[in-house]
This record gives sequence, structure tokens and C-alpha cells, in this order.
Amino acid sequence: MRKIITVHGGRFDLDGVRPKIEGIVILFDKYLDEYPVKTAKSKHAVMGPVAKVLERAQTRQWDAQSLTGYALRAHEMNPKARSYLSPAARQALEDGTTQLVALCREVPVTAVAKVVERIDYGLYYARRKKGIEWLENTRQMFVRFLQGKYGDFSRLSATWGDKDAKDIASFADLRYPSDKSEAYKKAGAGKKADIDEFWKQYADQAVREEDENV
Amino acid sequence: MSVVQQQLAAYGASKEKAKSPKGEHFCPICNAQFGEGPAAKAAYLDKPESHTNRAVSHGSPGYIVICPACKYERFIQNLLLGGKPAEILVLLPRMNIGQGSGAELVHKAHELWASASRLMSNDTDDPNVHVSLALTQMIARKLSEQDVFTLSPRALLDVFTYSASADTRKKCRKELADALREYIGETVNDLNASWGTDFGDWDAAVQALANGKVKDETALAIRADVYRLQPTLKIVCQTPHLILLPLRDPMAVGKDAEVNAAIRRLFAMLVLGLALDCSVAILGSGDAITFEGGEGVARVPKVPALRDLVGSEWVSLDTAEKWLKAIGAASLIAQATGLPERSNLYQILSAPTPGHILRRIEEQSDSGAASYKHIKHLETLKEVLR
Repeated sequence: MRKIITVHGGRFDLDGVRPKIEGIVILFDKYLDEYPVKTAKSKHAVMGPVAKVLERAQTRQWDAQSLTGYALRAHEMNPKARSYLSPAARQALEDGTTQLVALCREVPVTAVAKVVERIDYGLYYARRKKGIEWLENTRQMFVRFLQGKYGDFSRLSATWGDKDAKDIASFADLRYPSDKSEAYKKAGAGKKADIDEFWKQYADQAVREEDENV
Repeated sequence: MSVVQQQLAAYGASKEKAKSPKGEHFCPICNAQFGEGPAAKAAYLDKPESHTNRAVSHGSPGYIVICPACKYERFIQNLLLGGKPAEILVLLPRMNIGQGSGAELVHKAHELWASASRLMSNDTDDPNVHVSLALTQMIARKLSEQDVFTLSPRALLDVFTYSASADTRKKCRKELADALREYIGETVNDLNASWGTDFGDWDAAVQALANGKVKDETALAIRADVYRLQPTLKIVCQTPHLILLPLRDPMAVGKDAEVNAAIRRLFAMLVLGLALDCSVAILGSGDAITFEGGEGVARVPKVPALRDLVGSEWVSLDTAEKWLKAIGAASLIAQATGLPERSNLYQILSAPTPGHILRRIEEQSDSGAASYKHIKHLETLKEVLR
């Protein structure tokens, strides 16, 4: 007589691995704090070598050491990194990769993609949030800089002219002072001078937007 | 014959007679047993001719028969609102309340109703201002500048009021002028003669009527008809222990899916519940009041996807503000995500991580970037994402 085969269709509980997912996100976030690209527009640039680590980890064919080595090489290949990574960031990358590889082997194969997707987008959100907050801080610096210089908003709009002061009703409406955008290139002399002066004075504190080719 | 035997006999006989006035019936709304009764009408019951399991599957067509109690209950609802209510909100105190708190709740309800009824009638100065509980985005935007716990009845009504767009204003103004030409006369002299006024030109007369400055009854009836100045809701409050709020229109926008409309309902209930410090639930047709008020701030509408999202039947006091802010934040970023209007709120609230929504916003944006404002809304949303 044939043996009866029974299948138990248990449902994977994602909440059970949530603390591990959050732990991995924190470690990779710590590493990316030292990665030279911080405010680029594409997801590819913001995630740095971690995107490749996530992609390979879900195949469950890489061990933690090889994958960390792969990520370190990708980091060094970025010209902006100047082949340097602090010991703390390297440790965070190594710990994150080790925990990720272990988690991908721990969860059922059908849940790996879902778990990695959560780490991917959780980390992306953390990085993007930091980037946008840095740019917002820079915008606030620019607002304070112009408030200090002009005092009254009417003086600023008189200097910038109607074209550049259009859609700006108060200092709070001022946008990020980009010196690479089309708006800057087309701006009048008054606005350009203010943005240039701001970047001269705040070069060491303000955060610049990044190019995509990093 | 015992009651049980009577009911069994009636149940056996009722299926064939469900759409026939004669014979034994079971009310399809309240399950009460009754004898003969007239067929229900669409004037007070939704789709009385539609298929129901209470009747024989392939039997002769007809209108369902409901019991006299349910029929007269619907008559009263129609009388209250001047039309068939789409849904009824029930407000109860969350706990046993004393005389002072009870009187305060009744006072707030009456004050709210006094302001709302003025706005929804010919007494209003601006007929372009309307009341709606369904415009979640507008309500959330207004609430972002105020504390929901300290809203006065007037401020609460302001949160639910909206002003018609410039196009709608123009359209209504034209409709008003056309209706005046049809019913009163072609020239300003005709209007002056009919109203006993001395307007210099046609436009000034029409504008005066729009602003409610003309007291002529025919003209006011035309104004009410054009601007749809009729109560869209009513507040029935005799006692603080049970306040009824029948709504003429369902709380939905455009082609909202069932779950999106349920989220809008939950949001409006949370605003009312927190502002008036009470429990709020929606009573469907035939629903009995089986709650006492202590269960929470708002009862989650009976939509499985939403109940699963919230995780319980009631939104408790400690999580009410979190859900209020999260639904508000979802409505404020809904447009930026470019998700289909019929299900955007649900899709945002059920996203696995805020990163998914952020990426969606970036993909939809011309500049390819999200703003600081979006991040602030996503931080609020993060509290409820699972």
C-alpha cells in the first residue's frame, strides 16, 4: 500500500522576522552613511553596493564573506569613495550582509523575495528620507541667509525681479538653492549672485545635490 | 401552537410569498414574522425589485414585502431628511456620562446642526458653500492646521464645508439666470416688477438673488433648486445617549471602490468621534444597535479588507488619532502617487513599506523627486503600515 502523503500549507508569518529585517536595514543604513552618494535622484545610486548585495543574497548561493568582499570591491570602484571605508562602516556592511544571508536561508524559499523587498524598500526609504532632510536643512539655511541679508521680503523680490520672484510670496516659499539646475542657468543676476554667495559662505555646512554619474 | 412552531410554519411558507402581498412573511430587514402587507416601493427602500434569497430563485418578478415597523421607520427617515437617507451615523457617549457632559454633548450637536442647516438652506448668504463628509483630502488639509480634540461645533462644521469651483459657480450662475428668464421674465424690469425691487441691471438682480438678498418666494425656490440648497444631512438629538445623523448621499467620491469609500467613512467617523468625544458607527439597513459606546471611537465599516487592515471591529481611543492622521496623510499624498482614484487610499494604507509609496511618488513626479512635505506625510503613514 502506498504511503499517504500529507501537505501542511502553513502560512509564513512576516511579523516574526520583522525585528531581523529592521536590524539589517539599520546596519546597511549605517554603512551607507559613509557611502559618498547621498542625495542622487536614482534609486540605483542611493542604494550603492547594497542593491547588488540584496539581489545576490536572495539567490541563496552566496556566503556572507564572499558577498561582503563583492560589496567592498564595488565600494572601492566608486571614484568618490577614494578606496577608503572606515572600520565602523565596514563592520556594519559585514554584519548586515551576514545577517541578510542567514535570514534568506532561514525563511521559506517562497518568502525570500518578499523579505528582501521589505529590506530593499525599508532601506531606500531611510536613505531617501535622510537625503531629503539634508536638502531641506540647506534650504532653511538659504532662507535664513536671505532673511539676514534683506530683512524684508519686498527688498528681495525687488532685487530678484518679477521673473525670479514669481510664485514666491514669502521667504518660506523659497526653493533649494541649486546652482546646477535649469532654473539657475536661466535666473537673473540678482538671484544668481545670492545663490553663489550662499554657497561660498556655507560650503562646509550645506549639502549639495548630486549628479547621477557617481 | 408554540411561537417556534409558528415561526417554522411561517418560514416554510414565506419564501414563495416574499414578493407577494398575501400570505405569511418574514421581514427581509428585521426578520420579524408578519402576515399580509403591501409591496415595498423604491421611494423608501433601495432596489425592492432586485433578487433576494428570501424569495424563490426563479419565481415571478415583483417587489419585496417588508414589515410595517420597517416601512414606517423608513417613512420617518424620509420625513426627517426630505429624501431617502443613504446611510445613518449613530453617535453615543463612550462611557456613562453625567448630566453636565450630556448637556454639553447635546449643546454641541444642536449648535452644529443650527450652523449646518443654515448653510444647507435658502438662508445661506453664499450658496456655493456646501457640506460634505466624504471629501477626505479637504478635511485632512483643514485638520492639519487644527487640533481635532479642541474643535468647536462651528470649527467642526468648517472642516466639513467646501466651496464650489470657479467653473461650477459660473455654471450655477448661468443656470440661475436661465431659470429666471424662463419663469419670471426676460428683462430687469420684469424681475423688479415681480420682486418689488429697483435693480438697475439684470446682472445685479441675479447676483442679489444668488447672495440671498431677494425675498421673493418663487425666486428663492429657483435659487434653492439651482444651487441644490437642501439638507444633505440632519442631526437628530433628543438625548445625549443616542444621536442620529442621517445622510442623504453616500460617503463616497466619484467611482470609489467599496473599500476606498469605507476608508472615507471611517475617517469622517473618527473626526466626529474625537471632536465630539463620543463613539460613532454607521447603521446599515436593518442593522440593530448592538453596541453600547464603550467599544471605541469609531466602528470600522463592514468591509473585510478594511477590517483586516485595521485589525479590529472598533478603532480604540488609543489608536484613533493614529488612524485619523494616517488616513489624512494617505489622502494628502494620493494625488502625487498617481494611483487609481477608486482604490488609492486603500493601496497607500496597505503598502508594505513607506519606501514603496515614496518610489511611486518619485516615478510619478516630473522632477523624479519627492518633497520634504511628502516625507512628513510618509512618516505619519509609517505608524499604520504593516
